[in-house]
Amino acid sequence: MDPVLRTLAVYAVLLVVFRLAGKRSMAQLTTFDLLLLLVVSEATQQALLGEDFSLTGATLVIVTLVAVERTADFLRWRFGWFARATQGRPVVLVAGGKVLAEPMARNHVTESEILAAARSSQGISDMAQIDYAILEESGTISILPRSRSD
Amino acid sequence: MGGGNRVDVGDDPVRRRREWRLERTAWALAALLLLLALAGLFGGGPLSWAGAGSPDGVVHLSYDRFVRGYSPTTLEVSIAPQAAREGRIRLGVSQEFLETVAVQNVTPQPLRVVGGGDALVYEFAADRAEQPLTVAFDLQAEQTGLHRAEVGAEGAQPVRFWQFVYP
Repeated sequence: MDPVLRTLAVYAVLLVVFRLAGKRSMAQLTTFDLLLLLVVSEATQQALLGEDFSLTGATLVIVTLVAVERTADFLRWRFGWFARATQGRPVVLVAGGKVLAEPMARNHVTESEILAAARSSQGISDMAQIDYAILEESGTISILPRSRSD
Repeated sequence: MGGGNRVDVGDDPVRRRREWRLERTAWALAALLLLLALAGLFGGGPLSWAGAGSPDGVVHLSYDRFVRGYSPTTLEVSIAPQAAREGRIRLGVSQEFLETVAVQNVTPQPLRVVGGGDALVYEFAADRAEQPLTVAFDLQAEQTGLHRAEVGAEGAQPVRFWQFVYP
């Protein structure tokens, strides 16, 4: 019983923390983010297993984590409100070529980050060539280029 | 899109359906496993909590029927005051069982522990004559499998129980 309940509690804590931290928290993994992730997992490990060194305990934790994640996926697919509550919705940052200052500021995204996303995904180097830039639920920025006929 | 819009990704309806069925079965099994775990089949739940008493009612045990290896578990022994002899209660625990666990702590501390024969005898002070003495053995299971144990107070009938240790 114990490892299953511990895992559920840890999952809930992580879900709340990373949901409230915002979309951008871990989307682009800088070296420091990676370190932070390792430290988080190290801290979590204690809470998950405590003094339990058994194979059975580890198996239960793993199965619980996968099952909870699958269940959350199912709930997101089935209920829109659950998806919005746990993942949020995409945010439009550039619309019709126009940079929207407010959502950019709220999500702490700079124009250079949008240009970086445009360069790596579309081979675009200029703001004028971007039609739409969208901050996705996953925290990545997707770029829709202006079509040539415009 | 030029020459046709079929994209071949090696998809095979029969295999796909078989895979889905396998996945669904695995999910059902995982759900069952977690329910059993919550119920205590793998230690620490209603299925695992167990008690046993000696036929004469002098010794009573609370223990976990299912235990995970290398994780803590407690064996609680309650001994009725009539087992006291000259202010001492002597509690024997079968050697065979003690070989499969590591005793981390015994509360209250025994005055002395005497070995010999097929049991280890823990001797406790029984200062309060009216009340039962409750002894907690903090254990860590070190050998997997099914173990049988016998616990008994001097001058009373022993209690037998079994404990299963998962790897």
